[in-house]
Amino acid sequence: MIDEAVFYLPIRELHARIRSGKLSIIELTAACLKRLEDVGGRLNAVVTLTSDLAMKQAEVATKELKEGKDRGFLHGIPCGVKDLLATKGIPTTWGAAPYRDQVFDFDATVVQKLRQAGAILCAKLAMVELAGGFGYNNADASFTGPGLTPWNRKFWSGGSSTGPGSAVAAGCVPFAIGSETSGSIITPAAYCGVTGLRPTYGRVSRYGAMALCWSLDKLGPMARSADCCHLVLRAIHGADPNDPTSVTRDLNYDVELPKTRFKIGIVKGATDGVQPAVKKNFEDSLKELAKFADIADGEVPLPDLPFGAAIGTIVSAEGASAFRGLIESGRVKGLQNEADRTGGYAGLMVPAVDYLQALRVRGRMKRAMAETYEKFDALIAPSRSTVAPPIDKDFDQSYPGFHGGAGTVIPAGNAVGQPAVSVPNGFGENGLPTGIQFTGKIWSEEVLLVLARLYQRETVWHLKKPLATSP
Amino acid sequence: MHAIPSRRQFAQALAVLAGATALPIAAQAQTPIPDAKAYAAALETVIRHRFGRQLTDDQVKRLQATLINRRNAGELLKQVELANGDDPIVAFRADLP
Repeated sequence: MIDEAVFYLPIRELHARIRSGKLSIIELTAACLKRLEDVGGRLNAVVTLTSDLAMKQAEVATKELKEGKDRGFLHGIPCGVKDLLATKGIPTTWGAAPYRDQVFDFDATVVQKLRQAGAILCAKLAMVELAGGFGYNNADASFTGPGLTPWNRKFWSGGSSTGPGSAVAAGCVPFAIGSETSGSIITPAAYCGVTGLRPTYGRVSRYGAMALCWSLDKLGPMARSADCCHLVLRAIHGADPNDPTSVTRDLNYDVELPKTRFKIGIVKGATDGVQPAVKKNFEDSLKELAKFADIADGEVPLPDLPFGAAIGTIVSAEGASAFRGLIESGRVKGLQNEADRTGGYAGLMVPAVDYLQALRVRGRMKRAMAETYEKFDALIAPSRSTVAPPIDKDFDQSYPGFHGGAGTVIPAGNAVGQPAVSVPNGFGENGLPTGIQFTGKIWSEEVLLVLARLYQRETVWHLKKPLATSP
Repeated sequence: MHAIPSRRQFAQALAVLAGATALPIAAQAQTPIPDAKAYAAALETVIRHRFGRQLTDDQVKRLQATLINRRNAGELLKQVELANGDDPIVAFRADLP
């Protein structure tokens, strides 16, 4: 019998218990499968339980440890992946009814790498249909039902990585893999109160992942803490011949903390137009950050460039190209969300010159953002301007008047391929979590993760357990 | 659902739409967006021509609104001054992976 507290242990602690023989990989895997079915089911977090595969992997991992083969920190650790990663012989639905019977005959590179690292794949986790590329406007945007945050099941988990966010937050798995085109890791991390890392574009191979926007899509970990995210990133990063945009870059994350103080800037307008609790929690976070970082006087403006317009144009055009057959055949009407049934058509009508203009402007954006970030280890802002929206309202009706703050930070970072980490930093309306995001230069994941780890050393928000996991 | 527009209606609509993007860049930046009503009507005609069989009237309206937003996004992007040598950010490699 696995104690409830074990479900919330960080990866290092789980690994230590497994290695010392205090925790059985097979028992832990079976318990996670049960919790995914029960708790995950109540949160609409799971598409497919991979029970048979998981138990076989657990047996192999156990045998290997007995034989002295330890694959590292992920050896024997249960996990889930967003259901846009191909898994051989197991349905990969992309969260969309028209693809609910789709089965690939190969594993995505990230799935292969997790297996090589000894992780146990327990579930394909829920997501917003087609990763949200067609403009969904409320939480009812997946054939598995709206993703629910375990802090209050009347509210959304955030998307498009709905299942990875809620499953990790509810202790169903210690970590999961999500994806972000523009906000799909940072948002559910904030709304579910977990730590989410959006890596630099190209850090993690996209091979075998559903393509929404090949020039924007990124895969990254969602987990209990920044340290957990690092351990997962270390296992999944690196160049892959099947993804020509992927590269290998050093990950110099050191368990020993740096002796120099970090330099942090606050994004200009970060707390304008955000909910009062979001603002207060952000300001409280600054006090904690000041213990180990110098926070620059005055706010730092992001370049005055149309990041949102660029992202919108690129997502629309690339998404329509990726799913042209679905749209033009009319099968798109099988999508769950009404807005998604028409959004794809709009993408088919984006003028080529607008798309190319967006790609050309991205060059300017890269240079301008690099200049802005040059003097800082990180720029920070609230992860989202509000807590999670309710599942029974359209997004634009959920919190009228609170659409400011970090509104530009997510599209700006994604447009130029920058990394970001979101960590929980308190609670707001209806007992829902809020988050703070650390954004940095390209390839600076290790700096952001150390910053987030130091913040989590000073705070307890990432250790809180949600109450809405019971029936 | 509406009937598919006639060839003449479609040609008129295309003329309105083309007028929005065919101007030289410098001139476009200073030229207001074409009459919004005419643009919306033109869009509706094109939408019905291309996808009318698949969409309800409500969906046509929704799509029309989305496309107007897209058009506004295009205008915003156009305001960024680019040099001739500002290449688009695309990854093409002649060699196989």
